[in-house]
Amino acid sequence: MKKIYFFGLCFVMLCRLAAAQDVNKKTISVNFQQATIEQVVTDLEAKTGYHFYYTQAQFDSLKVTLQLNDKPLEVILNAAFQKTDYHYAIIDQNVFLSKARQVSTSLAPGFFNAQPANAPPANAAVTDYTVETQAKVAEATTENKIYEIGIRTNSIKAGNATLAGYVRNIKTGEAIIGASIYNPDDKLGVSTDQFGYYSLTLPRGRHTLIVKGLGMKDTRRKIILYSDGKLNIEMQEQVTSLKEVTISAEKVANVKSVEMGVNKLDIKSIKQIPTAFGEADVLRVVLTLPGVQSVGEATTGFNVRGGAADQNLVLFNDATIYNPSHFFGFFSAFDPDLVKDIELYKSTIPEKYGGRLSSVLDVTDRDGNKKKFTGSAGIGLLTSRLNIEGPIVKDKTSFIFGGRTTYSDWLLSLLPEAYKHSSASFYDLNLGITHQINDKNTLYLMGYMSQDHFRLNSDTAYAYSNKNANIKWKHNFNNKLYSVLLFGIDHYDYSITSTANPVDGYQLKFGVNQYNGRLDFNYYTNPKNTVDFGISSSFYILNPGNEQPDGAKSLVVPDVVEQQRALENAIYLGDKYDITPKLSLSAGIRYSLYAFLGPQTIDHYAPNLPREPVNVTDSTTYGTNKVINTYGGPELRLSARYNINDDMSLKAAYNSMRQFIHLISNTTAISPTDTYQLSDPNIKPQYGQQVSLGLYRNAMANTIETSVEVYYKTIDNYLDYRSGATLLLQPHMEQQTLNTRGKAYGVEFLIRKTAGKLNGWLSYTYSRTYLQQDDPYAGELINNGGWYPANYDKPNDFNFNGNYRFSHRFSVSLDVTYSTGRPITLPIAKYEYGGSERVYYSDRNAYRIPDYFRTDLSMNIEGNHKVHQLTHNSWSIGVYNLTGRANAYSTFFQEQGGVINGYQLSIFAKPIPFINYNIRF
Amino acid sequence: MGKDADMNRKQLAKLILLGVAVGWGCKKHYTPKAVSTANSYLVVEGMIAAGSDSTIITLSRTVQLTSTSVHKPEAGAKIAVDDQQGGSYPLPEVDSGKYAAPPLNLDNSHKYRLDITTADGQTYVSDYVPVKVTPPVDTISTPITANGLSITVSTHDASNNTRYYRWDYTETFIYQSDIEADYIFDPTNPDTLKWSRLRTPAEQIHTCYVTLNSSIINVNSSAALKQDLISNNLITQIPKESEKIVHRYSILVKQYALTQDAYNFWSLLKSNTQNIGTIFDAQPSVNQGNIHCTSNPSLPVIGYVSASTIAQKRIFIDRSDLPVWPIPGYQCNPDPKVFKPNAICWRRSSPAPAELNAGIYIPLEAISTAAECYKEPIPAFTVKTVYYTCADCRFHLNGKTHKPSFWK
Repeated sequence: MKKIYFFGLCFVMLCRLAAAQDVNKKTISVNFQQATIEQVVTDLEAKTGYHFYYTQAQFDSLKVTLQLNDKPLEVILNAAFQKTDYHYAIIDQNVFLSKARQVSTSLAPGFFNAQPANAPPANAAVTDYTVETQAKVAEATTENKIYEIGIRTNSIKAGNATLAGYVRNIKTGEAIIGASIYNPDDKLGVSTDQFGYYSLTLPRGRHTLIVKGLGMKDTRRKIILYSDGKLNIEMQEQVTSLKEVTISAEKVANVKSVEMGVNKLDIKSIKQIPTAFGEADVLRVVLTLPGVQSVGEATTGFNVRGGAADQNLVLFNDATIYNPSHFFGFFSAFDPDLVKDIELYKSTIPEKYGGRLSSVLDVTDRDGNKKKFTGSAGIGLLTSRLNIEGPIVKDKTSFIFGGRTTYSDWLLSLLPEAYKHSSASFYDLNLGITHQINDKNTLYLMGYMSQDHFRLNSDTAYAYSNKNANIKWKHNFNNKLYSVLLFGIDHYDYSITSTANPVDGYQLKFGVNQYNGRLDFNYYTNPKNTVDFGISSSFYILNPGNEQPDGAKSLVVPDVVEQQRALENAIYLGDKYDITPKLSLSAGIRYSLYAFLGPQTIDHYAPNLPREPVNVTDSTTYGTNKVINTYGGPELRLSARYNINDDMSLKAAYNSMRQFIHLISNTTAISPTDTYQLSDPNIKPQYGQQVSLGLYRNAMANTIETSVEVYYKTIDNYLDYRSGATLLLQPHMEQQTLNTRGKAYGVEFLIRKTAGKLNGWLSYTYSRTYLQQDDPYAGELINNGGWYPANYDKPNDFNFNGNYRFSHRFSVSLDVTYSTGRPITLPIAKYEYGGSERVYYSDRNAYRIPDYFRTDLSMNIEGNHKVHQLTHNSWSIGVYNLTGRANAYSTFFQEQGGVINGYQLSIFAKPIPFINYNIRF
Repeated sequence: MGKDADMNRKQLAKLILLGVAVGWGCKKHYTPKAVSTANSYLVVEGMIAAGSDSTIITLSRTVQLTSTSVHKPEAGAKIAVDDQQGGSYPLPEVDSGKYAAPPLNLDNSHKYRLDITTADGQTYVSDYVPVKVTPPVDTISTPITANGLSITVSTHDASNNTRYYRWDYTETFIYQSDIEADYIFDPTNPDTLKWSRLRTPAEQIHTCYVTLNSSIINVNSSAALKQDLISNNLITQIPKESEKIVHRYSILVKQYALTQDAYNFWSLLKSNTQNIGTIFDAQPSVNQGNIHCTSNPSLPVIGYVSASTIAQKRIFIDRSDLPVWPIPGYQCNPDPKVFKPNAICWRRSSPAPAELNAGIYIPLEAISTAAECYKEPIPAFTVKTVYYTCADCRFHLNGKTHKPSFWK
């Protein structure tokens, strides 16, 4: 097109305005749908024969939607530029388009259409900034450009208006979660939600918004806010972290957010941390965060702030994952090539989550690339991964698919004869589809499946599987209100099959299905206030155990434990309110109502007596879906933040939680033979409360985040087990369990450097966790009714994760972990009593296994950084457990020839080298 | 159920060992100080018997896990039963670690405790415990099951006061050796050429009375019932092929009334399995008894002392009372033992063949050497003998050949 940089344009226009009005009497018809200026001009030039002159850059954010029949050019242009800052002038056969600033108001009345805003929509041309121009906008231009939001008025009205939109990755179009949009003048800021959506209410007028996202280059947007409007913001990925730190006084999420006890990590930080087999592992990284511990090396169950492993809600794209591990915990169930980021809530748990006491771990996958097809693959010693993503409909619908599998059998075949015939394999598959129906409606579809198989020396085979699917529909009612409707199904099952001896061949199965429905609303009422509310419902069907004969010769008698059903409903309301710029409050209430449903037979026990078979008085049988009993109550989520100064704040929080599903495990780690138990009349739901206080300070231009948090929490009705409890195929779980209460307290220190050549974090936690049996009628009293340390009580916990980038292509990561050894109950003597030899045990958890210490090192070598090449590749090479310390995984005692000997078992007792090759295309 | 859980634990343990086998891991000895220290804690077993029974208390010490023997009696202690009103009844040591006294004629309305001073000077006392009066055993039933014979006990307390019960039992049965040896090796035979003779009735070793004590803990409670009634509580089961019921069998069931506290102690002792504990095991818990060391309160003591009268009942079961079940087959055959010629033609001055002299082989016939020893050369000498375990019932479960006084 003709591009004229015509500096005198305004002057010419002023001279020839009047004449222009009369010249064009020829009528034309137009139909523009979201047309750019180029399309409009091309069309009009063709239809009128006029020449148009304009500066393209000025019109790059204009979109014209207009349908008019048999109208003169002036009418069309009036309608097209109505309510915008654009103007035109017609001189002979030439049309000059301009984006006039100063001159606009001084022009002759009537030249511009001064119609009020209530013009019929068919005729209205709406400036819509939510769709960026198709021509690539230079970064600088985008940042320096002034976006006008809403219906332009000559003078800016007083009061507030709401700006909303999505923050997306410019390259892939995927939503950026947790990006902060911050207005430094008014100290108002919000962060984007799980869809990358934000809504920010600001005083009308001119603002500069600072936009920050994890792993994204900081950007800014200049806006003039006239009225409510939309602004989508695209951000660029931070390509290298070598670039010198841009000093930014606004990197303040740590200090400014009301939430506390929240750790957020993007996949880049996760990938820097070395793991045993070289593959990035989400859960392994979670363990390095302050306040998170595990009982052993090859376990993926984790303990948050003195909570049990089953008190964590592990959400994967909003689906509950019951067993987040592969290969007995050597790998986590999340494909690192798809994961975008993880968020761990330890203290302030948003009111929309419930059902677990300790924490919420929210793992989110990326959306598929909306612009082009890409993929990546990784090859390691034991596993391979592949993922593909791309648009189905460009800029509207995208998919992402990932798969991972093992080929570890070669390794097992190298083993001594005793293990040679073992086999182990796993795979997982992920699919995500995002479809933007229109501006206001988006659909998200996810499917996940994981499967593990083991066969140990051909006698017993284990298999377990997670299957999850859900669909989410996000609907924006307006800038301030949106809703998300979710339907999903979560499934977990395992089976154990033994055919070693045909006579007692058996198959044992466990399974749980959880059907979820949820409706969440988010309402940004005004700049100081955000309300969220919603309802959720989960229906559980749990098959606690089913043993069947396996094989024709098997004499095993089938044994089926009655199915358990329950409905867990919740309604919640939360409000975040900025009382003053320095003081913010967030208050939420969640009311949970749980119903245990038939069919079921419930035993009744004599009052004030232990729940033992001899004390069963009678039992009642209930019909299908009949409500047997209900539990319920409010849960409070309160937090407050006070800014002491710009880079320091004080936060306090109180939380209460309820949990209706219990992990039944006779091991201290999560193992594939664990079952779950729903609360019933004899097993009460767990209830937890936590108070926490934190001091947050950013230093060195916000590149260093520091925090100190202290907490104290109590847990009621936590289940511990009777001595010698039998848990598998157990129809009367209440006879095997004891109610205990817990208390936990601790202090967590974190120093994190987020930018620069050297980045990483250092955390130290001192924490204690105690349990006390407070069940007066249990019959046995653990440690004489006193407080005893929980299995995962590890007072001192130190972690260092550092990454140093020597060049664009070479970086080194170091990971150092130290923690106190886990408590253990030791057999300390033996004696004869009641006609038999017996073992005398120490008080429960009176002793500890040796302390844990490990150092890992890895090097990441990137291929060249040319942007345009077929594939990008990288290597990661490293050593796990560099010092070769034999950390005790387990200690156990064995009787051999009448003598009891103790052994300590280490899994990774030597330095383990690893190598991984990754390719992106 | 229990078997499966156990198997799974083992499988899990195997998997972990797999890591060890690959070579990443290692298994090494683990002897924390708590385990390697010689934990020699006092173990007190027994009860204060009211009524017409003797009070027997056994004292022993715990031993190290790495010790091969668990039996370590505690001798030389002074034990007495104390009355809350100030009375004291000493229990003299009757055997190493065994302290006993004839019926003490205790007052059932008083409370009693055990007072112990060990040889090392430490003093221990139990809590004062009430005397529980044990109701009589109503019946002992012997229902026949698919696998054999069950023995159950029923009792009740019309006053609803007992509620908690414990039982133990003593079984006695006739055991006969596979082979009846009529002859006995007797080098003192006045006939110098005959080295064996017929056994006298007192010397018979074919029929023994074997006595076994129960080694499992058996407790039950009627606390949840409207009446204090225990119906057919299983005492023991005897498989149909068991040697116990080949001839004649008798069982003496002793019944003890317990307090709720004592019941809890025994229940816990019962559930603390012999599993020693790995990461995959349910955690055992320490069992607190009612005995404390007063000279050093931090010193653990194992045991629970309660006081009660004892009710007991004995029954006899003959083979003819039972269905026709197969009788366990013999495993022994007479063993024709060949002795070297010069070994058998000994004289009084030469040593007897060691195997006969030591009773390892028992002759099944008269040994007369007269004729053979005068032949030249002396032929190999064959004596029909049998290996001692096949003929001597006393070596089987410490059987006794004399009939017990209660045997009918």
